[in-house]
Amino acid sequence: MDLENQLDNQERSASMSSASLPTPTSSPISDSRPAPGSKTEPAKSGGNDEIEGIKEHSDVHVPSILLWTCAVLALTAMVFLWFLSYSSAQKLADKQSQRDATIAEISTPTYAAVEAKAIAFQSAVNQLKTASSGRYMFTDFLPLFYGRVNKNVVVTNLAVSSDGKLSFDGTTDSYKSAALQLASLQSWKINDKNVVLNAQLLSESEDVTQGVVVKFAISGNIDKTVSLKITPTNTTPVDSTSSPQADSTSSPQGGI
Amino acid sequence: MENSKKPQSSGFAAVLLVVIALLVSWLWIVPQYKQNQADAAQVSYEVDAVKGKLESLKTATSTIDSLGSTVDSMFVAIPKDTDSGNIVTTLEAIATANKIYIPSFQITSSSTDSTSSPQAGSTSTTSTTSAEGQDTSSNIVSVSFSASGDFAGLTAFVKGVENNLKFFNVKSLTIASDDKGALAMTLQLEAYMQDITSSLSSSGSTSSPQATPTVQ
Repeated sequence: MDLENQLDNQERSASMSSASLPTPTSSPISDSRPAPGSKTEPAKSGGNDEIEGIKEHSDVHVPSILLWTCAVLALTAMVFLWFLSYSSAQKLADKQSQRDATIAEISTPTYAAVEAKAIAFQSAVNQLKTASSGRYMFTDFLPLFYGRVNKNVVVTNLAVSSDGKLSFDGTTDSYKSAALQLASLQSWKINDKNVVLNAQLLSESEDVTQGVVVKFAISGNIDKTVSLKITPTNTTPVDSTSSPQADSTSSPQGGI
Repeated sequence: MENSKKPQSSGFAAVLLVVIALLVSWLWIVPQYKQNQADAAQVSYEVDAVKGKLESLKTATSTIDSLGSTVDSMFVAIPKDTDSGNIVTTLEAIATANKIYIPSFQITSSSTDSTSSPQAGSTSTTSTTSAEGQDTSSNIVSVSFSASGDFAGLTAFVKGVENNLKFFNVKSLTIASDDKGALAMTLQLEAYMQDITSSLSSSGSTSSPQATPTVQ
């Protein structure tokens, strides 16, 4: 009876399963079956079917689940990256609009005028700094120089340049007076510093047609740091209204 | 037979999805993200620069407002162009105030791309000749003229020139007397004009006033 049941089961499973399934005799399950005559044989025969089915299912579904898990993860990562990209695009758009708004603000005529004025002012300041650094004032030099001219000397030509070269031509009544004039310039000191350096008498000549007239020429170099250098007090802004020549020297914009 | 094909096709679909997801991420989303990040960094830099410029302009506005008329005085001292008309007017005014006679002026202005070609001054009292000449870097306006008068007048004239609101730099001074004792003075002055290009190059597109002007 047991043998018959076993054969029936084998026939049923053979008719339902594929041709590739192993034959009942070669099946390892059948090999492990208990020996005929066992009381539990019918129940064990049904369990084998379930185990076989589970095994077949597990062979196919475990990799499939893993693959689908990977697919879901990949899709999630893709969506996450897309979200990052989208949010970065949004931030970019915000910054661009912010930049454009600021550019529009500084492009208004008001700020354009301020910028032009600021650049012009900076340029003027730079130019004035450069020009002032090499400037020497002649205003005080002329009265001081003529204060050093002896009474019997007539200045016929005086040339002073900003590089300090001094040329002085004059007439007097004797060679001695010419020498005294040279000595007067050589001994000219301001704050214990010589004003005229390397002064020398270049020439002397006597003209007796109109009495005794000695013509002489003196050259030298001025120590500009002593006599001509601009003083700090002169660097302060000069109010045109306080200048002695205020009314006459003011430019058309002098009232500004 | 059907039971084995379903898992295979299902697995193939999952693999296909993974591949598609990777390809889309790698070829489209990630490059786009990187490009957006790079663009955002560039735009951030530009925004900072523009904001800095805006702040600089605001500072310049307040500084200019605080300086008041000093700014305008600075523009008189160092004008933006040759301003030869103002030079002549100023010098004539100083001369008239000190009873000095100036027969002619010679004004040689400079521009950035011309060569020096000085011209002789006219002999009329108030006319000038100006030539575009250059000292490329300094934007200097050279002024030469003769003046006649007494010593006190000439001295006061020099003082007026040097203390004028318009900035003059006396380069050379020659005083000569004739037999009758009349004095003639020859002056070579330099006036200056703004050098916008160098100011732009040295301080960027926007410069704010940083120094208190010193107007002579």
